[in-house]
Amino acid sequence: MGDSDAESLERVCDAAEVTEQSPAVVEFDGTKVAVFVVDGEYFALDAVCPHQGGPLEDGKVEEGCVYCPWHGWQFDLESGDHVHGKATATTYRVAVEGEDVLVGPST
Amino acid sequence: MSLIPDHDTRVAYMRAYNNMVVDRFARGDGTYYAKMIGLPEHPEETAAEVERVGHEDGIVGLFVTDVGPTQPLGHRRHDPIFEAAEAAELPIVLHSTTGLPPSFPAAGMNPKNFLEYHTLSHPVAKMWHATSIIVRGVPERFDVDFGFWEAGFSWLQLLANRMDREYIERPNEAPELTKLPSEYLSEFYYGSQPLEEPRDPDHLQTIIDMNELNDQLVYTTDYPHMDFDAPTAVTSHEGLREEQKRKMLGENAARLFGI
Repeated sequence: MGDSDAESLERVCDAAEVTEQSPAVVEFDGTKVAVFVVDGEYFALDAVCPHQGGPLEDGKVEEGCVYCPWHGWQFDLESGDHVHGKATATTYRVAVEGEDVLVGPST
Repeated sequence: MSLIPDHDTRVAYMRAYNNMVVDRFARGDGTYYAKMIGLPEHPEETAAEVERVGHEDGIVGLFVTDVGPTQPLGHRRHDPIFEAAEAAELPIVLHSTTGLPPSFPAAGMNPKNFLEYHTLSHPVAKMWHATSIIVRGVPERFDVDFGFWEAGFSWLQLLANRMDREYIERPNEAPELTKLPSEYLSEFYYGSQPLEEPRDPDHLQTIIDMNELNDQLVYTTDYPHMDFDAPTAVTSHEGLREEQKRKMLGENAARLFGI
């Protein structure tokens, strides 16, 4: 979900803080946002699971989805949609410029 | 505890557990409340234990496992437990322990995996006990509140509809009843966890309203089990009315436990 239009984005952390093993949790517009990187591609979505509030940043990431560690709810990293449409985690635009990770509101 | 093969040891563990609960957890200062534990397989010993512990400060209920007893709770052999609970003014809360073969409903189920087993074990055990409690007239003979924990409450809908029809067709088999089985079910209490999440969230409130459960649902967590419910399970549920949430999160439990 990379984005070349970085002007509307806000720096949230160093790129080094985001690894496949350890996603970053940042604050954007008053909301906790989890930033994931998978095979060099970055994704950002609400860190708080819309089901019961579990920490999505601690979830297993597999085949383009993150699984909430509390009850296993499965969200598509790109769309934020639950696999069976039970809820949607808000997604954000994310880009990397140099050493910086930038996040902005979803379009 | 129910798996301990030696009966004397099992009863000793029950007493030791209750000693621990009284010594370390239950309080008389309004901070911590607890349920004592009983063993339906040992009715006389459990009744004596209720007499010994049931009046201790902060003890507000009697917890019995509902997966494991060899007889459904409505069996006459359990009458001493009901008598003791009534005298101590303690509600009886059935809370499952999972996977205790060869007892019902584990025996013969032959599930492929935990998904199959866990889907059925809790509600089927609840239905087994609730059916026997009602058909055998326990609520008519004892003034005791019953709580059913850890199976949600949607199972009640099936039981209410089905048992009413069965009762109407053969009321002579439950001569002590003074009203429809579904009306007894509406007087029991139910733990919320795991709170059901119908495809249309509004249907959960519909089930509550249909079965007159507005004052009977108690928020429960089952924490730290993997299927625990955080308070957000209730507070953020899109289908529940705000008044319903308030009752589930405190008022109903306060009434049930006399807090």
